[in-house]
Amino acid sequence: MSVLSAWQQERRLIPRWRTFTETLLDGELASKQKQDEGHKHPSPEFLKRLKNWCLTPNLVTAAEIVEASIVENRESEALDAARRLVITEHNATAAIRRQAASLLKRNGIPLETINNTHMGLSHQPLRERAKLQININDSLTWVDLAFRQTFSGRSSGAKRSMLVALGLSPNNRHVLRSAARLFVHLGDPERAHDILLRSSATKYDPWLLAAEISVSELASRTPKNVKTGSAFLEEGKFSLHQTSELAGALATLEIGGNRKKMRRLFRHSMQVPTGNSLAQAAWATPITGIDLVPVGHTLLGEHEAPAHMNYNLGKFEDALDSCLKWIQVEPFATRPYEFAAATAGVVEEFQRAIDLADEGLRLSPKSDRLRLSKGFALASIGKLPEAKALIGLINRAGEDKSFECFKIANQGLIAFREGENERARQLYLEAIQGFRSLRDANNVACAAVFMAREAYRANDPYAWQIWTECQDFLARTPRAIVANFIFLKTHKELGMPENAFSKKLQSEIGIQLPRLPPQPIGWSTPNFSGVLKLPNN
Amino acid sequence: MSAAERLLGLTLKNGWKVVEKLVRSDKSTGGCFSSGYRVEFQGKIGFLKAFDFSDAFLQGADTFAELTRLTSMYTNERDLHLHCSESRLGNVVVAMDHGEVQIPDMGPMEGRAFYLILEMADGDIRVQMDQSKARDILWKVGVIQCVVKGLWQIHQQMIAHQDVKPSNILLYGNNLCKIADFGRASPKGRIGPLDDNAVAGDRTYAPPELLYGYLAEDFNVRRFGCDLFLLGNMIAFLFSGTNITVALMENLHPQHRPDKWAGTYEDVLPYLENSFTKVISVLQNQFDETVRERMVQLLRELCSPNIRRRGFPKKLGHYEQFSLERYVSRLDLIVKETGVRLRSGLTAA
Repeated sequence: MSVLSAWQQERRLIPRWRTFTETLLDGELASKQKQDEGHKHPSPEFLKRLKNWCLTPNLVTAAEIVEASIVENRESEALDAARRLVITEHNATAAIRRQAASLLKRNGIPLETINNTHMGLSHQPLRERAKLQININDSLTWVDLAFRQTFSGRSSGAKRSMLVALGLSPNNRHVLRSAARLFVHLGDPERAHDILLRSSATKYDPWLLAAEISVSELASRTPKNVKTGSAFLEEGKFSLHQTSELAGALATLEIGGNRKKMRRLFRHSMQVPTGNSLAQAAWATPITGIDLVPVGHTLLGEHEAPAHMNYNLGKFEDALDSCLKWIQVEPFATRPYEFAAATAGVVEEFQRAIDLADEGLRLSPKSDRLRLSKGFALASIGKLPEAKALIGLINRAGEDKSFECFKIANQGLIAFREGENERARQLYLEAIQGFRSLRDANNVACAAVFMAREAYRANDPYAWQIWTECQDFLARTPRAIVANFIFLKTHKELGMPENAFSKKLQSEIGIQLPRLPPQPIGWSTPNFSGVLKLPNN
Repeated sequence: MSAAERLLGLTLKNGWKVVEKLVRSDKSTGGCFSSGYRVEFQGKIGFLKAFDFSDAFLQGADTFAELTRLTSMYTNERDLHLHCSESRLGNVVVAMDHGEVQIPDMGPMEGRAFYLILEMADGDIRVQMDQSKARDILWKVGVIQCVVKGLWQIHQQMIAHQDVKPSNILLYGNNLCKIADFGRASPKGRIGPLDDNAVAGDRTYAPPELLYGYLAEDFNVRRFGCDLFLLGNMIAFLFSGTNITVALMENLHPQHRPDKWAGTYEDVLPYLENSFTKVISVLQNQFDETVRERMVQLLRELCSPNIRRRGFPKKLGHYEQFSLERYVSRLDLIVKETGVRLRSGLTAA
C-alpha cells in the first residue's frame, strides 16, 4: 500500500534537467522573438561570391558561396555549389566537403551517394571531460558533466561542476534552471532559490520566473516574482510557449485559492505547453477536479504527463510503461522511480517493483516512498523479514503523519501474511483512523480494500463482513481509483459473483470516473465500534 | 563599361603601361568595386587596382554623397598603403604608385579612374582548398608566421586591418606571403570611412561579437580583437580549407544565430562557447600530429568567441591582451621546431 503516497505527492513546476542538446531541441533556450526586420538584403560580399560562382563555377567559388550562405543564413542559394563540392570536386578538402554535405542534409537534400563516415558527418561525440579539455570556458558542458555526475551518484562532483558553470555563466537560462534543479535534487531548495533570486536575468526571463516561483514553495519561502510574472502574462511580450511554465507555476499557487484564476492560468499554460507544464496540469487534474489537459494532448518525447493521465484514468499498466520511459529521460530523478515502483506494486509486478525501488534507492537511499514500495512488494511475495526490516526504517512520525499511516498499513499486510489476523486488522484500522484524521478519503478507501483483500487471502473469519463494508464505502468514493482497481481485481480473483457494483466498476475502470458530491458514510469493522465520519472527497 | 574597366592599353602619366586585364578582377572593397590589371614599367611588373566610381553616376543615385563615400574609401586605402610602404613593412603588400587617369572618349566626371599600383603576387592561399595542390606543414606554419608578422607590423602602425581572409594573403615565391587590401582598415585616432559599419570586413570571416552587434568602444578591443580572430581563422583555413566563423554558425542552433537572436551578445556567449568546443573538437583532427597541440592552443586563444578571453592568456584584461608580439615569437619557435621535427622524422609535438 504505497501507490498513493507516490502519486499524491505535491508537484511543483521545478525546471526539468536534461542534457543541453535535449533541452535545446525542446525550444526552451530561444530568446524573445526578434522584431521582424523584413527581408534582409544579402551583403555585397555574398552577392559578389554568388556572381563569381555563377560566372566561373569551380572549387574555390563553390566553397566561398557555401560558407557565405551559412553565415548569412541563405543556404538555399548555395545548394548547387554544395552539390558540386560533394559530387564533383573530389579534390576539395575533407572539411569543405563535410560543410557542403551538412548544408545539403540540413536542407533536406538526399545524400545516398555520400559516405557519411568519409564526409566526417558521423564522428563520435566526445565525453564531457574531453570537451572541457578543449574549452574549459564552456559552461554548458560543465552543466552536462554535472548531469552525468548526478546520474552516477557523484553528488559532490556534480555540485562542484555546477558551481563552475554558474561562475562562468551566472545569467544563462539553462545553467540557472539546471543549477536550481540540482540543488532541489540535493535537498537544498533554499540554495536553489537563492541562485535564482541572485541572478539579474531572473526578472526578465519567464522561464526563470517560473522556476523562482516554484522553487520558493519548496523552500517554504514567499515567491518574490508573482507580480512580475503576472505582468509578463498580461503584456504578452513573450510567446505562449515561453510563458507556459510561468502560467503553470502561477496556476499551481492558486490551487485551493482563486479557482477561476487557477483555471484561466492553466488554460494559458496549456495553449503551447512544454512537457513539464503538461505534466503539471495532468497532476493537478484529479486534485482540482477539472479537466485541465485538453483531450488527446500529448507531446513527443514527454512521458511524465502521460503517466499522470493514465494514472488518472486508472490505466495502471500504461502508467507504468510511461514511468519506465520517464526514467530514461530523467535518469537522475527519484520521482519517476517512486511512481514506477508504486505502480508496479499495484499491477502486482512485484519483482519489477523491487528492482525499480532498488534503482531509486541508489539515487536517494533515504526515500521512504521507495522503502514503502519495496516493503509492500517484498511482503507480497512472502519475503516477510526483509519487508519488516525495511518498513521499520521509516520513521517520520514528527514530520509527515501519512507516512506513519502507510507504514502501519504495510505492517498490517505483513501481519496478515504471518497469520496474525487479529493484529493485522488492528493495524489496518489504525491506519484507516490515521488517514481519516488527515481527511484523506482516497487512502482510507485504499487501506480498506487492501485490508479486505488480505483478510480474504488469510481466510480471516471476518473477511466477508469487511468486504461488504468495503464495497459500500467504495460505492460512495468513486474517485478512489486505486482502491476501485484493487477491489475489482480482487473481486475477479476470488471468483465472486458479479453484482451491480462490480459491473459498474468494470465499466468505469479505464475511463475517467465521474465526480460525485461528497457525503459522510459509515464504516464499521470487527473490534471497532462507532461510525467513522469520512472526509469530503 | 565604367572607367575602371577601360584601362587596358593605356599608358599612365607616371609611365606605367597597362598590358593585361586580369580575370580575377572583380574585387569589392567595402562596397567599392575595383578592376585589376597587370602593368609594367622599366622592367617592373605591378598590379593595378582601378577603383570603380561608376555607382555615383547611376540614375537616381545621390552623386555627391556617393562620390564623397567612394573617394574617402579610395583615399583611406591609398594613404594606408603608402604609409605602410614608407614604413617598409616586410609582410605587407607595398604600394608602388598611385594616381588618376582620364579615359579617352569619356566625360571628365565619369571618365576619371583612380588607381593604386601594388606588388604583383603569384597567387593567394586559397590554393589550400584543393587537396591536390595543398602544400606541406612547414609551408603552412611558414605562412602563418608571415601573416602574424604582417599583422603585427600593421598593428605597430596603429592600424587595424579587419579584412584578413584567404584572398588577401598573397604569395610571393615559395616562402613569402604578405597581407594585402587595406580597403576595410581603420587607423587609430582617425575616423575611417567604414567605422560606422558593425562589421567592417567580410561577414563570412567576422568574429562573432560583431555579427551580434557588440561593438566595444575601445579601439583595441573592437578592431585589434577582430584582427586576432581573423588570424585564428587563417590558421583554421590553412589546415582545413574552412574557417571558424562558418563552423561556429554551423554548430549553433538556428534559434541562437545572429538573425534570430534578440538577446545580447553576453546572453548568447554560453551557446557560442559550446559551439566553439564542437568546432575545435572536429577541427583538431585536421591538424597534423606534429603541430596539432600548438595549433589548437593558438586557435583557443585567438578565436575565443568571448572577446574578453581572446588574446594572450596571461595578459587578459591588460592593454597588451591583443598584442601580437608574443605570437610572433611563438610562431618563430613553432616554425623552427616543426622544421627540426620533420627533418629528424619525429612526429609527436
